[in-house]
Amino acid sequence: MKKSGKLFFVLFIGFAFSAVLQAEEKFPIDIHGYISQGFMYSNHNNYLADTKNGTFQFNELGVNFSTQVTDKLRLGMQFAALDLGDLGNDTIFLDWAYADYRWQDWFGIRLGKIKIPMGFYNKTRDIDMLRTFVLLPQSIYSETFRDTLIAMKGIGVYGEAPLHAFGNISYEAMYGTMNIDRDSSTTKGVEGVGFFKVEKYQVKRAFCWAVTWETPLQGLRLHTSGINIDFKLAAILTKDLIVTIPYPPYQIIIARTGTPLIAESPDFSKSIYALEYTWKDFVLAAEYSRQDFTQTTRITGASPFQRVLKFEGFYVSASYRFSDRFETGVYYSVFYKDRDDRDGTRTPYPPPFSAYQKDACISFRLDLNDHWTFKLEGHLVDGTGLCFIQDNLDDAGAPAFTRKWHLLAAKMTFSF
Amino acid sequence: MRKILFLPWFFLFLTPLFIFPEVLIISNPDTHISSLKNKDIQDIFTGKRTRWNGSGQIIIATLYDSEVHKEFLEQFVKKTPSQFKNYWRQKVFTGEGMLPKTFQNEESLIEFVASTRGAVGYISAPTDRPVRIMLINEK
Repeated sequence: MKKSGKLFFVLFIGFAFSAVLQAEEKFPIDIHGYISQGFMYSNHNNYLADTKNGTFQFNELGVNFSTQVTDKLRLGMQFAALDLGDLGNDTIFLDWAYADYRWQDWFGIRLGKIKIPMGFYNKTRDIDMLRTFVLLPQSIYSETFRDTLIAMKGIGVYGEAPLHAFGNISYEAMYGTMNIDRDSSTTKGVEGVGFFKVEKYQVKRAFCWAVTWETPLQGLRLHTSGINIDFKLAAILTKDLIVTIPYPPYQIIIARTGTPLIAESPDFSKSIYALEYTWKDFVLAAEYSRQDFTQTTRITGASPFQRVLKFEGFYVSASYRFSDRFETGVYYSVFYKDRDDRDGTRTPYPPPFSAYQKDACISFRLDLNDHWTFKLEGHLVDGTGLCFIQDNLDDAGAPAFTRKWHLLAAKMTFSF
Repeated sequence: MRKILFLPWFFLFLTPLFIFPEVLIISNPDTHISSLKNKDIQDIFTGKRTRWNGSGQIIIATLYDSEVHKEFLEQFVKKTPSQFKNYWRQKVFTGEGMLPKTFQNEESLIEFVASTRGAVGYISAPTDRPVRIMLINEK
């Protein structure tokens, strides 16, 4: 079925579902949606798409249906699609769909496909009009693992509890699994090492949790969250694996192109610590994150080898709303591929500045009315730690990066 | 010294220019609660508290942008209108909630609260319609 056909089919099912329930008049359905179209341009380095030539392959859409079945039970689902360079390509997917049984305010259960509460903004990262910036700080909300860390299927518990003089506390915990698509940004990031092509993933389990404390100081909230995933991938080699013996010069082919491999990551983990302070129209936020995993790769005929990744990132942002319509914000975001080698002197993937990415951003947001939002923002970037290698190859197929570069992003969103 | 003496008079002179509308919290008369704390109101209108003590689901009713809406949000919810709107839209687009009922004018809101069990809203002046006007405990 063609893409547009799928879109109409999905929307038809959704609207038909809501029409049937509406007809019953017992379950009024709320329908909301958004559609946004962006543009990005960079003077050096392609970032997430073909930005050096300017790209409109930067859009999102979503439509959701929800209904309150009883005082305690709510059902809902959201279909979405996005395009970001060669990722997404506007293929419709089920963004979330779950039953939410809120037994008490301090305890509820969710079953289905549920958004992952990583940091303050992970759940809403695809929904442009809910934030000041076009691009969220990439040190925490990197696009590399976006489609893996956006939602999971399983069971979740949540609740809100008043702490009286000490504010409020809310919590969420989830257990389940997730689908990692072969054509995902995760694959693009993983294949960046350049010697294998992913065929499929298997996620054994995923667990995540989040706690947010609204402190007695009005407007100040503190948050921590984490996720742990046990997954493996099956791939095939795209190059001969060769071991070089320096003296006397000698090369041994230990595995030929096309040989299958399995890469296991039983303990992928990411944790975030965050703070947000809101005073009237001013919002200050800061988040810090660590992401660790050890990947053991097994290739037929060769000894297993390990790769340890220790990502680190943080940002500080401030935004201010000048009027009902106009808002501006700035952030400074820093990402390190290896927190034990922040300047990249020991990185196996030169140049050294590919070990980090430091991004200073200024953004302007204009709400034309309740439904239309326009944003424009500029980035001054040092380093290329979050640029996909595959998007930045020279004519000979070698990585070609420029250390200091600029990025311009604009986006128009309609929501209802 | 002269400047210091002048300041209180200056602010006293300005005071009549800053007259804010009074905000009254109203609920359906079947709600067996007659007073709320500021914190209760904040929790109710942010969806953290969804049930009256022993008397069913809370249904919140809000007004479109207006002075009383702004004043209510500032005084009780501690959010600006745009923050309040985005707060609820986050819930809608993540499946965690449904938008509050929103009304163009106070008459429609009062009508809704009077006729809907568990409903709560806010208005700028007393009404003779059958709604309960909540006492506010500032603590």
